[in-house]
Amino acid sequence: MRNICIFLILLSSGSSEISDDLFYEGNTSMVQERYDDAIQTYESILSLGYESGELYYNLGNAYYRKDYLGQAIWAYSKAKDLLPRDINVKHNLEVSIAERIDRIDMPKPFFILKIYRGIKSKYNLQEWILFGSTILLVQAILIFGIQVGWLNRNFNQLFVPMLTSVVISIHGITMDKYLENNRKHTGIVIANDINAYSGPYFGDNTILFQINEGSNVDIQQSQKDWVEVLLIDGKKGWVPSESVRKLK
Amino acid sequence: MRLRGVVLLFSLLSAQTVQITVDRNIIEEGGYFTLAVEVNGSDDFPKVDMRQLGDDFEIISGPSEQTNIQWINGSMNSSKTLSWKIAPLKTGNVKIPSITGLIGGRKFQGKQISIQVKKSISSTDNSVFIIAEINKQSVFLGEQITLKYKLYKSINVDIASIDQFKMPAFPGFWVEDIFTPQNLQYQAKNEIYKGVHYQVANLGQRALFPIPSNNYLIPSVKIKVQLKTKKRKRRKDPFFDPFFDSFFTETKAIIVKSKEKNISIKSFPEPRPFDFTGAVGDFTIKSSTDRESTKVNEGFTFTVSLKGTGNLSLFTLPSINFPDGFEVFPPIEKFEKETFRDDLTGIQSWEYILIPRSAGNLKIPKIEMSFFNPENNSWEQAKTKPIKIVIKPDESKASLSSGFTKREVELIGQDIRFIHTGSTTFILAGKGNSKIAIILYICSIFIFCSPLVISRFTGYRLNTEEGRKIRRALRIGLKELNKGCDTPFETASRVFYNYLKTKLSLPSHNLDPSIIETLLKGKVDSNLLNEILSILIICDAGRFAPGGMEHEATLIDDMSRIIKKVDQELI
Repeated sequence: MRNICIFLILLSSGSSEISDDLFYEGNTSMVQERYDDAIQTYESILSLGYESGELYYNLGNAYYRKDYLGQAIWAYSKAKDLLPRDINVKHNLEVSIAERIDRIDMPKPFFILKIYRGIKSKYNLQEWILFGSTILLVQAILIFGIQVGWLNRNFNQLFVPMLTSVVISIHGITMDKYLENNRKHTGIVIANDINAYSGPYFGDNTILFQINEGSNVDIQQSQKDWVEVLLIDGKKGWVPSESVRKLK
Repeated sequence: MRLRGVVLLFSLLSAQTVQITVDRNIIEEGGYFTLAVEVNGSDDFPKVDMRQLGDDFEIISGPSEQTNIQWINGSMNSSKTLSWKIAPLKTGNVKIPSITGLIGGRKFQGKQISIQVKKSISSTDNSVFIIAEINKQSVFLGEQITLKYKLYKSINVDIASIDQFKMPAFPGFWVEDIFTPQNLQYQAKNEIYKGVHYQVANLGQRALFPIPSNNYLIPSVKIKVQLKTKKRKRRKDPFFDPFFDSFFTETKAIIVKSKEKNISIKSFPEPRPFDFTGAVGDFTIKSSTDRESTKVNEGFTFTVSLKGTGNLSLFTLPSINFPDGFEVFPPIEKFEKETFRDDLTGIQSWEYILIPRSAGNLKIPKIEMSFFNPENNSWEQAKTKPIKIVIKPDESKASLSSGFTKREVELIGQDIRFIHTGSTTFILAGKGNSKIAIILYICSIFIFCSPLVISRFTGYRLNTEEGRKIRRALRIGLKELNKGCDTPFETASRVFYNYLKTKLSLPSHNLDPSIIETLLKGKVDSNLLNEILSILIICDAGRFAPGGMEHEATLIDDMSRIIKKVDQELI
């Protein structure tokens, strides 16, 4: 019935206003603790092709309340991509990550790398692009000013090289972020006690290891109904594709 | 009147004799006789298989063993007797077949004995009887049947005694004791059965739960009842006063039997839930822990209690998947039965001792169990809520045992924050809002390129080093002229040459009026050119020859005017 309603709304109009209505409907369900309805409503917005950080955040809360930890971590990760500085998203993601079963300890990275990653993850790709283009515009105006003689030539010696290096580094970070977003296919495991096999079918393949929901995996390749995943600690195996939800 | 029929005297060897006897051979229907096999001069009891009696007889009790030892004139005589109480199942003339057996490894064989079973004249049939009362005839597998054996006795019959009532075995059923009387007690209220008042005694009550089997039968039970019989009035006898009758009553033994009953089993409605483990009845399930948070390596108890009515001990709980961080010990199982109810009711509980081995927010999953409710004829489900338990790290070994960072330890036990309730801007997935960025890039490129375009189409000089020099040439020249000096002729010509050199970017230092003339011809007005040439000649003349003093006062002013003019025209 609910699906029909959503479908009818879709037919009658076709803009992001529906998404807004659905978003409010989902929030109402959340307040009334009808989490299943909320999940369905939020997911229907996603299936329309729209997304927003707040939507992913609320969806994560609904999944968390229904004890779908993997789905919750997935949604919070998506929210963090879009809202990298939101403290609530950060907190909820950390809380749900603290609850997952598999714990893989990573060696601490070199501090410069850590700082670089920190800065990089502070802003999302859109913001980096916007940032880079703005600085570039500022530089263009400055150089224009110097060339037409509006500005003191001291600018030429001091600010122009500085701005140039800033512009280059920002665009470097943007490029890195863009490549990171596009190169790797990552996903979150959304089911418990998943056996990872040595090949993409049950047959004679041995069970290599088990993974539980909430773990981050790199998706290496996919076959029909199966994906090959790479864990952070280097383990590789095939799992059914419905047990992993892709982040990108 | 006891009739003793000596049936057989069978001599084996010297002293061993076997006698097979019955205590009477005329009995009433419902009565019984005693069959005895007596062996003289043997140390062992004979071995007799009573199955050879056939279907016409039923053994009520036995064999009972008896040993007699006698000394007669100094010689010992021992006899051993096996006896059975046997009830014939037919009326009329029934024959006990010849009985064979073994004594001391030797075979013996008796003769046929015939028994006369008279049809009872009196209505003893209906005076005492047993009914197996069941509350349901057809049940589901695992559904409770309450069985009650009741002894009915008509009011005008007295029972002297009854044999100890023994519950039969119930094939195909799991049996739970509900009530077992210590002695025969009649209910306070009489019951009417087929229009007749009866006193009723409960002989025992059982809860029967059908288990998978081939046949479900409630067997017939038999019990021997001694009835008081009324004596015929004797004539008045001073020694046998009727007063003493109460002490010396005559009794009559009868066997009462209940009828066999068949139970039919209904099949469960399909589809069965996958987690059905055989529970039939009505249950609720609860789980609890004795504390909400604990430390690593500090055990706690987790209790699952199942409350309800039904076949409580006949099914198992679905297995509980404890999280990996727990060490689980086998549970202690307890069953508290609720008495005073015919339906088996109670609380079955399982107490687990769990020892957490790693810190974290661990969750004991919910327990779900499906059962069949025969009252509603439907499948139902009982379930518990999942229990969250906060396992704090053991302070002493926090850094060693748990893989938690400080931040994660802080997060243990925290809840998530509430949803975002305000509005949000939706974007199409995968497409960032990069219009502004594109506009900015285009603007930047445009601004970068604009000076080139401007200089190309307007001739405006760009702010390069040379351009700056050219632009400054006039200013520097005028400045030097205004400074004033002792040699105005030399200064004026030098300033002009320098100005022109920078303004036109000339490489040469050697400038004279003729070169100037060729350079500026066409670029400036011819009047101005003449003026320039004349003033330069004046300057040269003033420098190298005396005279021309009349020009000295106005020379500097003239020169600055000319330079300004040239600058305006050159651009």
